[in-house]
Amino acid sequence: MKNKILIVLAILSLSSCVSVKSYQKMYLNDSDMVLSDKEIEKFEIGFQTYREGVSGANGGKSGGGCGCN
Amino acid sequence: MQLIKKTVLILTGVISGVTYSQTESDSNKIQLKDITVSFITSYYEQDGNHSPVTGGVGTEQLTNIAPAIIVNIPLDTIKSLAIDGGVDFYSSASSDNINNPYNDPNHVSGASSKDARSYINVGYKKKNNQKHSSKGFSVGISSEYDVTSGSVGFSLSKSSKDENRTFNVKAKYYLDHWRLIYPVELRNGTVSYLPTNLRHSLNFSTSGSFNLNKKIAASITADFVTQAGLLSTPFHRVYMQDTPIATIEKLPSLRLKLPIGVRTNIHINDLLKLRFFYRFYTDNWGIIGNTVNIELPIKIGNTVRLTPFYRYHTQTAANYFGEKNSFTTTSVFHTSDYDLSALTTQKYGLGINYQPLFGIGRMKGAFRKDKISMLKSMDLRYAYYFRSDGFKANIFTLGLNFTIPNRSINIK
Repeated sequence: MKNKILIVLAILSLSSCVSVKSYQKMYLNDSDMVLSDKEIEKFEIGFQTYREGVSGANGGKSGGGCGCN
Repeated sequence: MQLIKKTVLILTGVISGVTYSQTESDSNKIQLKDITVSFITSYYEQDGNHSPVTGGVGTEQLTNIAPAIIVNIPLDTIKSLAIDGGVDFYSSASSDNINNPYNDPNHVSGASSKDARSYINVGYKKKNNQKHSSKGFSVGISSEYDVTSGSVGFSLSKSSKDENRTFNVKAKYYLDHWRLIYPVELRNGTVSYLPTNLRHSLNFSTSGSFNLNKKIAASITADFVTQAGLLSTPFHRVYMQDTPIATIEKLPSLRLKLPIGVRTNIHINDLLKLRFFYRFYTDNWGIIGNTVNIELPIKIGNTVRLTPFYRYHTQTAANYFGEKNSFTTTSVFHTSDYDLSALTTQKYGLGINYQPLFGIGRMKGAFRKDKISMLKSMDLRYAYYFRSDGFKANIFTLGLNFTIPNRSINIK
């Protein structure tokens, strides 16, 4: 697993050398290209956090508060 | 209810204070970005047959209606305020059984069958355009019948000059104060089964996002979460094989979580995009998880986007999980909460976004006197979720997104 993470990091580091100019960001500025979950998903992420023993790394809550029932 | 009233008063005050403070027109003024207000409401229902309240057997039926409001207010060209508040109204056959042991012939429905959780989070962010950086902090509070929770957070962000790479660091601390409610048959005023009623959670998150080329963006996020204190739920029962009387769930007082997520968004063509998310998770309770989420936003004309999505998750069981009657009274830590069991889950559904170029509708004076607010877009989303242990859930979400004209400010 450690190797996989290192490979992903290496690919991202190398690829990020490509410089995209501001006027070339037409596609990247689209709302579907935002690198986070959407507001409309906030309740789904909430119940998944409670219904699975796994959470985090998605910008959502990863601890705190009751998850009863 | 107090918190709900306070939330409404604060939101009304903040929006009014910002929008009504406009001064006389001046050629040296600029118009700030619009205030955005989103009203999101969801209806959630679940059912299963492994409730931890009745020791890993029995109904998990629950319905939840959750209206929420999310407000983003640009205070000037570099500072902004974000407010997120709402109430979850839930009705739960499962928590009703805190007062009814499994299959109790004398079942009595009581106050624990329904409750409301209210919450508010306020965030402040300040950008530094010269340094391509920003910093922010947040505070939050939530309250329900048996848990009151407070949080404070801090974030830093730094981008490259061309803004193709951004690095973020976030830290958030939660303090949960529990009212210890034991299953009805274990209530004895003099007996305390748990050493503390406080839960501390410290979430530290670091992430990097990258524009790989004109059509691909990616990010990697690593969180480190430490939880300490009361990590079990006081009214969860566990049935042992060597005694007919239930005991309560007991879990270690320390949990360390390490989730790592990778996200990639690809602009395939003008009609189709791909949103991909993968997460690896491990913790010191023995759970290892893998999660994949794929979305395919499809543009229909200039106003509608359909987003079908699919999510797959798999995890191993926590070391302390066991089915009903699998533990003996000698065990130190034990739970029959199937959320901590070995399982796979799947979720699929469809999101619809309707966003005409000039908005859906306009209302004069709705949020600000004599000014026209716009219903800019609308979202509707449905998801079906199911687990390998037979648990099923449906969730509908409706979002209405408004923009409100902001004030203008002097530029120097």
